[in-house]
Amino acid sequence: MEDLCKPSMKFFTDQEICYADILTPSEVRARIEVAMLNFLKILTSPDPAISDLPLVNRKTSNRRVSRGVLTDDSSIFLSRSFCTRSLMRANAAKAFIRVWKVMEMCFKILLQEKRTTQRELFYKLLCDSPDYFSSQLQVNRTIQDVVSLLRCSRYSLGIMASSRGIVAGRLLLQEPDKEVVDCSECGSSGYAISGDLNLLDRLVMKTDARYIIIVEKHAIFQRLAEDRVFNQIPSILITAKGYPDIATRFLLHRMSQNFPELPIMALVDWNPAGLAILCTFKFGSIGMGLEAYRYSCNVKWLGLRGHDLQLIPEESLVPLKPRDLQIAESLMSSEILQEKHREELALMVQSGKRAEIEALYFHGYDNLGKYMAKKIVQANYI
Amino acid sequence: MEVSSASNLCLHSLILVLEAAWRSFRTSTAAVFLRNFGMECSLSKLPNPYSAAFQSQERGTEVCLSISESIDVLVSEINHFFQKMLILNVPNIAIELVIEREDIPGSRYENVFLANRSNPGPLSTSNVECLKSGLKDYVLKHGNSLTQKCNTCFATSKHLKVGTGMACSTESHKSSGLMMEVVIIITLNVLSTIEWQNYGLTLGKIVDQGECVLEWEHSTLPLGRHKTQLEQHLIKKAVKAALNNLKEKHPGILLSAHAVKICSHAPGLARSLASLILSSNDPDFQGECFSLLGLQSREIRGDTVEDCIQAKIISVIEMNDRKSGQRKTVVPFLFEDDCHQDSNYQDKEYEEGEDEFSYWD
Repeated sequence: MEDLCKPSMKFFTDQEICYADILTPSEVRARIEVAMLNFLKILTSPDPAISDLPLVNRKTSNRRVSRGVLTDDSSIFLSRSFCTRSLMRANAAKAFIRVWKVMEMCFKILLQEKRTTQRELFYKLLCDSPDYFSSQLQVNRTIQDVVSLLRCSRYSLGIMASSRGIVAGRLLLQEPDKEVVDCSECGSSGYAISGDLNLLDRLVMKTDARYIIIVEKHAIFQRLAEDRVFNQIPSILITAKGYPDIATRFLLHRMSQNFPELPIMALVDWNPAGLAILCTFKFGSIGMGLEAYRYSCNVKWLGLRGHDLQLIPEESLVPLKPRDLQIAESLMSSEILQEKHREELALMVQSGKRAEIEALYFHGYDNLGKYMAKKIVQANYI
Repeated sequence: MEVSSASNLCLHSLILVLEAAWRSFRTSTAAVFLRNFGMECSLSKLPNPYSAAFQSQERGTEVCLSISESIDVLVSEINHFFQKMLILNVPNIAIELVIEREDIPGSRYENVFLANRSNPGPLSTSNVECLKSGLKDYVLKHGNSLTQKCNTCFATSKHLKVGTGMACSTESHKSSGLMMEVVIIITLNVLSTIEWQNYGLTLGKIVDQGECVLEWEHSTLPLGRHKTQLEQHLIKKAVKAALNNLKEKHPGILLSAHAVKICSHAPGLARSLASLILSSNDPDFQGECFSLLGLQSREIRGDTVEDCIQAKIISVIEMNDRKSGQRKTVVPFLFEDDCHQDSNYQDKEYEEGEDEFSYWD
C-alpha cells in the first residue's frame, strides 16, 4: 500500500502534472490580458501590492516520472511545486521585470500573428531593455518563466525554436503546398528540421524504413548519410547535433506516432553525456519545463555499450573527467533511469573510462555501418 | 542637553538630541560647558530651579564662577551657548547673564535671553513640540549667527522636513521613568554639506534630485560620554522613532537603500505594462485597464498610462518601506486560486541565476 503513495506509482493523471497547453494566439493573448488585469486590480486595490508571480518550480526536486501503463513509454514532467518571482526582493527584481518584458513582446508578436525565434527575441529585448537582458540564456529562462506562468507552450507564445536537427534516409516529407522531399537524396547535409512546430505538425510523411536511428554526433551522421547506410539498413537517420531541441524531439515524436512499428535506436558515445542525450530524446528534460513530458519516445540504446569496448583499441579509451562524473551522478539519482542503462552507467563509472563512436573507425570507415547492422540484426539493444 | 559644538557646521540643518530630564540638564549645563574650556568650577548643590522659576517670583539658578583670564572669550561663548539653549523654546524661561569683573570696579555686563516670542505656544505645549518650533526657527537662521534669518536659503519653513520621536523607560526601582525626545530636521539640498558623522549618521550617497540615501548606525549615535546604558538605549529608540516619523510624514524621502533599488526598476516595469496595454486591439480590455487605473479615456495620451502605473508602483514600494520593522503583509499572487489549491506549495525563493537544470539539458 505504501508504494501507491509514491509519485512514481501513481497513474499519469493522478500525479498533479503541470503542463503547458498548446493554444491559439488569441487564447494566449487572453491569458496575458487576464494577467495584466489581475496585476492592476491588486495594484489599485484598497490594500495595494505588487503581485508575485507564481511559477512552476523547474528544479529537479519537482521532477516526476510518468510510466506508461500499457506501453514502454515513460516521460518526465513537472509537478505542482511553485516558486515565486517578486519585485520586492532586490536580487530577484530583475527576473520579475524580465517576465513582464517577455510577456509584452509575446503579446505584440501574437497581435501581429507573427513568429519569432529565441535569438530574434534576444536581440529585440537587448535593444529595448539592455538593463535587463544581457544574454541569450536569460531570455531562454525568462521564456520558460512565462511558459510556466501562463501554462502555455513556448510555441503558443509565438516563439519558434531554432532547430539544429537534421534528418536523412528513407523518408519522404511534404510541407503543405510544396514538393515532396526525399530525405535519401539530401546528401550528407540532410533535411534541416524547421523550428516552426506548426509546419512540422502539418508535414506529410511516408517511409519504407524499418528503423529510426538517432545519431548523437553531426560528424557521424554525415558519415552515415554519405555512405548511404540507410540502403543497407532500411532506416531514417536523425540527429540534433548533441542534446535535442524541442523541434527535433517533436519531429521524432511525430514519426513514432506515424510509424509506431519502427523501433527507435540511439547511437551515442560511451560516456555519461551520451546516455544523457539518449535520455533527453527518450523522456524530455527539466530544461524543457512544462513541455518536457509531451514528446517522449521509446528510444533503445544501440551503442556504444560496455561489451563493444572489445572492438576498439585500448588506447582510444579516455579517463572520465569530473564533468562526466557529475552527469553520471545526476543520471544515477533519477528514478526514471531503467535498470540496464543504470548498469551500463555503473560500468562506465567503475572503469573510469569513456569511449567515442569514432573509435570504431579503427577497423576502417565502413566498419561503423557493419557494426550497426550486426547489432540490429541480433536485436542487441537495450 | 548637548548641543554639538560644531561652530563650523552649516546650521541649515541640525539634529538635536534633547534629553528631557530637565532637572539634570539644568544643574549640569554650566558644568559641562565649563569643563570644555578646561576651567575649574565647582557647583554647590543648587535649589530646584525649575519649579522655582515657574511657581514663584524668585530668581532661578545662580552660578558663580571665578576665572583668572580671557573673560571676553568666555563671555562670548557663554552668550552663544545660552542662545543655543533657546532652541529648546521652553515657555516662560528666561536666562539672565550678569558679569561683574572684580578687577574693574563698577564694570557690569548684562544680557537677557528670552525664548522665541514670535510663536509662543500655550503652556501645555509638550517639550518636543517646543523643541520642534525652536529648531525650525534656528534652522531658518543663517550660519551660527542665531539672530539673522536667512531668506536666500529658505523663504519659508515649508521646505523643512521634520520628524519627532520619543522613547520612555518604565518606572522601576532602578530608574525613574526617564524619557527621551528627539527632533530631526532635514533639508535635502544641503545634505552633502552637513557633517553627518557628528550625529552618528553616514551619508551613503545622494541619488538624483530629491532622493537620498542615509545610512546610519545605531552604535555611533551621539550618545555622549556620560550616558548610562538605559539612556543610550532610549536615545537610540527615540532617534529611530523620529526617523520613522519623518519617513511617514514625507513619503519619498529617507527611503531605505533597498527601496531605492526596487524603485529604480519602476520605470522599466511601468513602460512595459503601459506598452502592453496600449498595444492591445481589444477596447474592452483597454477600457478595463484605464478604469482600474482611474483614468478617463479622454485623458489617455502619450505617457499618461505609464506615468500613472509608475506612480502607483512607487507608492506601493514606499508604503512597504514604511512598514519596515513591522510584519510585512502577505503579497498576493498574480493567479491566486492556482497556488492556494496546491497542497505541495513551497514558498521557495527563486533567485537570480539559481535555475537548476539537470545535466540532461
